[in-house]
Amino acid sequence: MEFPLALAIAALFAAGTSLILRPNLLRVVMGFGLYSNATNLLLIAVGGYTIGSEAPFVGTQPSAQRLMDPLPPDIILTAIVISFAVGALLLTLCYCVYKDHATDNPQALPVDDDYTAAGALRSVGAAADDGDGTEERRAFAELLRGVRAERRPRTATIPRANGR
Amino acid sequence: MNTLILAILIPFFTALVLALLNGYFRLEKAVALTSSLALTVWSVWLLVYVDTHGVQVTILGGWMAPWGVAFVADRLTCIMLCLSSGLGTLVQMYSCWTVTAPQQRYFFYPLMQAMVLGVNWAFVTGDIFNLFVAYEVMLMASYGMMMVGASPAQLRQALKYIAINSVGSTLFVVGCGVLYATVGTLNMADLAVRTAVLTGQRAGMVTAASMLLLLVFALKAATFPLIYWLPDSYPVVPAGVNGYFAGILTKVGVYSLLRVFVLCFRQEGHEFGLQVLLFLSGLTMLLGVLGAMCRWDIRRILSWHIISQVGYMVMGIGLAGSPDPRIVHLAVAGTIFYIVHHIVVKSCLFLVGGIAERLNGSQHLKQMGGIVDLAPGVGGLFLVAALSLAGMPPFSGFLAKVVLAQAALTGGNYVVLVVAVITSFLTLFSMSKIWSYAFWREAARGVPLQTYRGMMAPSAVLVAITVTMGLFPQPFLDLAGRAADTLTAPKEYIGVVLGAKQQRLAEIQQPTSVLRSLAAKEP
Repeated sequence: MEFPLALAIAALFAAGTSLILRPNLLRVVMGFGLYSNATNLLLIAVGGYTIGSEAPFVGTQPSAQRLMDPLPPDIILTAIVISFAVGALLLTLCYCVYKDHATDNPQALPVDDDYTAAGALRSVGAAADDGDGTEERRAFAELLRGVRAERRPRTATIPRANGR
Repeated sequence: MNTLILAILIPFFTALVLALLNGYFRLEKAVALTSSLALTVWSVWLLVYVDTHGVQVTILGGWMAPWGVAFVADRLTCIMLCLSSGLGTLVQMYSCWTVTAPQQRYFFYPLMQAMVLGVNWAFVTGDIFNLFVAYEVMLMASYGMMMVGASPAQLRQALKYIAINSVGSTLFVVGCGVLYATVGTLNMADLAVRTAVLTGQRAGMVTAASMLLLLVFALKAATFPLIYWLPDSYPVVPAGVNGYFAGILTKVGVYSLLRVFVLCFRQEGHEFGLQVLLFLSGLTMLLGVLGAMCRWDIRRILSWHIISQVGYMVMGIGLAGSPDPRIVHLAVAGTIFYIVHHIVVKSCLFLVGGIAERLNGSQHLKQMGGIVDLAPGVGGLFLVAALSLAGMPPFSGFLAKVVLAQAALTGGNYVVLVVAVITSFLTLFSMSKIWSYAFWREAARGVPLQTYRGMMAPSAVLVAITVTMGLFPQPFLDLAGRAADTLTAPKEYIGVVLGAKQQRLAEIQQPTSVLRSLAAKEP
């Protein structure tokens, strides 16, 4: 059973890698899905799975020779839960980035140079330094309190499929 | 002793309570600070207890040692727990001034607690798969923390950060699988016992699995060539919390390298991994500092410096590949001392950098200036931390570098030593660039942009620690030496963890678990 499993694992890893390297956020997420499946198959192979091997604790007559190692399935369960959670987060994030920039190409995203709340100050268009900085201080305090929101570079149109 | 689980239970329940309290801003701050303080006090007590009574272990779930999940506290674990909990407290104190209302509504404090939970879990676990789970908890919290406030720049950078760490997680599970297939255990103490007798092909398989784990830990620690995600993503983390990211999160990677490569892998040819690390460390140091030299905003400069400093710690781990046990001991002790020094100093620099941004309203060096005039105290804090980072006496950085240099010199690793010294000079150059632009030039504005005085307290505590470590280093060096003893000669560690098996058997009179009741039914 090892050889077909090895082939499947290799194919999944190869497909996953090729998807992750694509300049398209959705494909990247799918690539991670394939990665996690490949990993789970690898763990099944690690557990010594052969055709006809039995799950532990099931049935009344477990025979030690055909019993599968119970630990790798345990690891797989944990890994599935984790990859599911990360996948959901990643999908949500991709959608948010898509909404912000109207593109799903990570290479088309702007390059960042200034991140701080103070940098955000410029992006809310606060008044320039007026000598003693009173206006700037007020704007900064408002930003900290959350009265002003940082301006989002929301682009006007998000292209829709089917021309709807 | 069954209290080791407190290291993760306290932050876990605090995170839950804080999530429920979302919206009651002052109450939230009070609860978060009280709980973190309690956790810190408990960690210090644990360090003293373990230092006097030896390694402590808690086995969860009623299974015996190599199968049940073991929580182990040796001296290294306790030192890291103290640092992580203590720094968590300081960062939350600092955040009382910096965190904005929207950020707090986005579960800032629960995320912070969850991060401490994941980090403490990674330190206290004695099982490699459990380490993976701890990594995931820590990473999930750090994803949330990186996106807190959800500005477009944060979302963009978080995307990269999550993507690269997902690749790392996949490799981690694969590494666990290969290791389990070859050795048949994932318990660290059991691994140390079983790999010690491996030779030939099986030793080669273990080395291959160890290379996968090396890749994962090196990615988390930002070791060459897996460094480029760090200087982009760390600057978007809110000020203050980036001190925790810079101090602790990369050090979890270094800690795992130290724990796994010094303690667990003892098969024939295990030195290969350490030699790879030694080779990578020189490149990491040099590339990190060169990257820092050509940047102009404070957060990016400091982020690149994390990389170059990680190089020193990885160099220490790499030097532990020497055949001479005295050099191994010196290198490991030096690495532990360096980790402590670096966590304190680097997070301090990030905290002070946050104040400087607040004073000047910018993080770009060319738009800053005159902080020494505006706030002399902030200038003093930065100067001490920067000199300590560059390795000037009488601060802790000097001693940390001296110990590692001694290990390199005795072991005859002259090339990496020369690189380390050059890096140290370049670090000084880079720090003096920040100093002369942001602190020393003519003032960019007449009055500070925002209040800052309370924010100086956490940084002052950290500066006090680095000065104390520099002036009275002997107790710290002794502690690092004793911690290195447990790692390099793990007889005590293994004895306590696997010995708990016997103890556990004696405790359980009745067969409780499924397998045992099954075995009882078998005729």
